[in-house]
This record gives sequence, structure tokens and C-alpha cells, in this order.
Amino acid sequence: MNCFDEQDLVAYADGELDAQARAAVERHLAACAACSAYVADMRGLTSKARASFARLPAAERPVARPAMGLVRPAWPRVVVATLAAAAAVLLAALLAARLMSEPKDRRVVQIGPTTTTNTVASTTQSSVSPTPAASNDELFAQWAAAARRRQSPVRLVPMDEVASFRPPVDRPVTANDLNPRG
Amino acid sequence: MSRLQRDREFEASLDAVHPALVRAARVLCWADADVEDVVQETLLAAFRGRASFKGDASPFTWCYTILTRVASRANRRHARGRSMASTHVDDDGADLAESLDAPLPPVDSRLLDDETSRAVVDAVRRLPQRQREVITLHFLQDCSYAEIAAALGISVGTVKATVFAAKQSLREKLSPAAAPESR
Repeated sequence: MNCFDEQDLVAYADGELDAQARAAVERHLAACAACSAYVADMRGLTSKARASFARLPAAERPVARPAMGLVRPAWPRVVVATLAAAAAVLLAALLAARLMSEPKDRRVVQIGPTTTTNTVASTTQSSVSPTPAASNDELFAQWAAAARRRQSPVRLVPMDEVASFRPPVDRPVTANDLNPRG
Repeated sequence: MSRLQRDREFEASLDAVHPALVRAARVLCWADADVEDVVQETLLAAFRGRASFKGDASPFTWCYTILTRVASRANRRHARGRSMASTHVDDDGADLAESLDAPLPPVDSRLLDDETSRAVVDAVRRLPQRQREVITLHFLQDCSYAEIAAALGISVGTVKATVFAAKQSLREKLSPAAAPESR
């Protein structure tokens, strides 16, 4: 009943045969009306099916697209970049202000209450020139305190010793203090 | 090209194939109510798996592969319902497999007002699952046998045999006078 392989005839109708197989089918179709009608039927079926599928609605109603998770800034990039730069400048200014407000001569961890000596020292460090109304004794005391601070060794107190740390006792001013090595 | 630009290009390519995916889902899904969810899940899975898309296939055929799996999962829910209602005492797995190949119900008449087109789509929906998937891709995108084979992970020989079986069945369903004995 089948004068030719029907699978090959369908593949021929779909343009899927290689050159050699295609030539063999075409030689047969030239002499066989039934197989030619079969190939024409299959081509017509394919065309009708493709047209039918094309008529299917792509969307009966708008199909919501799922959010793909891409980051889309709500604000323009220029605005975002400007705000970020301004925030960075403000942060840097605040940090600089904090650093500048700390005493420059602070070299040790202060344990316990701030002593009068340290307070005086931090005051005089920025300016050695005395006030015109200060007495000589006061001037000397200020200078001596500054000298003692310069001679104080830098010692970093480990965290586990903080609780038991005791600051060194201030020694009395001696003649050597009059000739500061600083 | 930055990663964000590549992602946006890929998203644009998914937008381009979106209408064809909806049409495919209308043929492959049991219920038209599932179409929107199936397409959304397909697009999301495609985007999340975009790293595995090497560009050796068209974006549509790549997404179609995902669509067949998502639609099959959705159809299983309907098949399970029918299987549980069945009076058979066979193994549930056998019933389920048989149900997946069962004909899908006719397409909603509101989707296709042309009677001829509706008859064709209904005939495709009555095919077994594998024939339905192969022939839908063949009709929808005019894909070659090699492209269909790559998309569905089967051999070209299997595609050729499946296309033949599907078209033979459609020819008989749509043209009863063109029976095999008439050749």
C-alpha cells in the first residue's frame, strides 16, 4: 500500500531531507500521483495549523510581567550620586571636626578623673605666651606642668590592665625642669 | 557591557518572546486559567537561569523547554484529580502517567472564534503529551527538526518520527475522508 516511506514524505514536505534523500523523493513523486497528493495534504495541514496557532490571542488580558529583580533607582542617577557625594563630604567634615577638637598632646589613656595639671597642660600647649596679668609663679607652674608632660613616657595600657591601672604620682619639680630637654 | 546591561538585554529578549509563549501555553495547558501563572513562572525561571543560556538556541526555544516542564507540572494537578476520582485499582503512578497523555479539553471558544482554527487547536490538544509538545513547537515557530530536538533534549530521529505520528493523527482527525486506505 505504501509505495514510499511516509516519514520521509512528511520530512520532505517540511524541507528536512538532505540533498540525496530529497532527490529520491522527487524522482518518486514525479511518477506517483497518490504520494504527491499525500505530500500536498501534509503541506496544507501544516499551513492551516500555523495560521490557526497565529490566531491564538497572545494575551486575553495584559499578563503581568514578573519583577525580574533588576535594581532600578527611583531617582535619577545624577541626583543619587550628588547626594552620596554630599553625605561623604559631611561625614568627612564631622570626623575632621572631632579630631581637631581633641587635645593634640594627648598621649596616654586617662584613667580616673581629669587632673588639674592635665587641664592646664592642654590649655598651655596651644600657646606658650602667658597672659599679661599672670604672675611669675603662675607662669612657672604652667611651664613646669608642660615640661613634666613632655617628659612623661608614652604608655599604652592594655585593656586587661585598665581596671588595675594606677597613674604615676607626679614628682616635684627639680632644677633640671628649668632646662627642658624638649 | 556591564552585568546590569546584559541582564536588561536578556529581559528585553524575554519580552520579545512573551506573546509566543502565551500562545504555546494556551495549547499545552489543561486550563486556560493556568496560562498566566505558567507563563509568569516560565519567565521567572528563564531569567533566574539566564547564566545557563549560552546563545546556541533561540530565546524562544530555550524558554519553550522551560514552559513544557512548567505546564506539565500544572497539568499533573488536574491529572491527579482525575486519577483520584478514577475507579481503577491500579498503581497510582500508572494512572497518573496515563492521565498526562489523556486528551486536553477543547480550547475556550472565546479565544478562537474561527471554527476551523478551533478544530485544529483542539485536535492538537487531544494528542499525547510528547506529540503535543513537539508539534506545537513545529507549528508555532517553524522550527527545524534539529532545533526541536535540541530544545526538547531528544534525537532528530525521534523528532522526525514524532512529527510524522502527530501529523498523521491530525490529518485523520481533521479530514476523515483522507484515511490511510485511500492512498
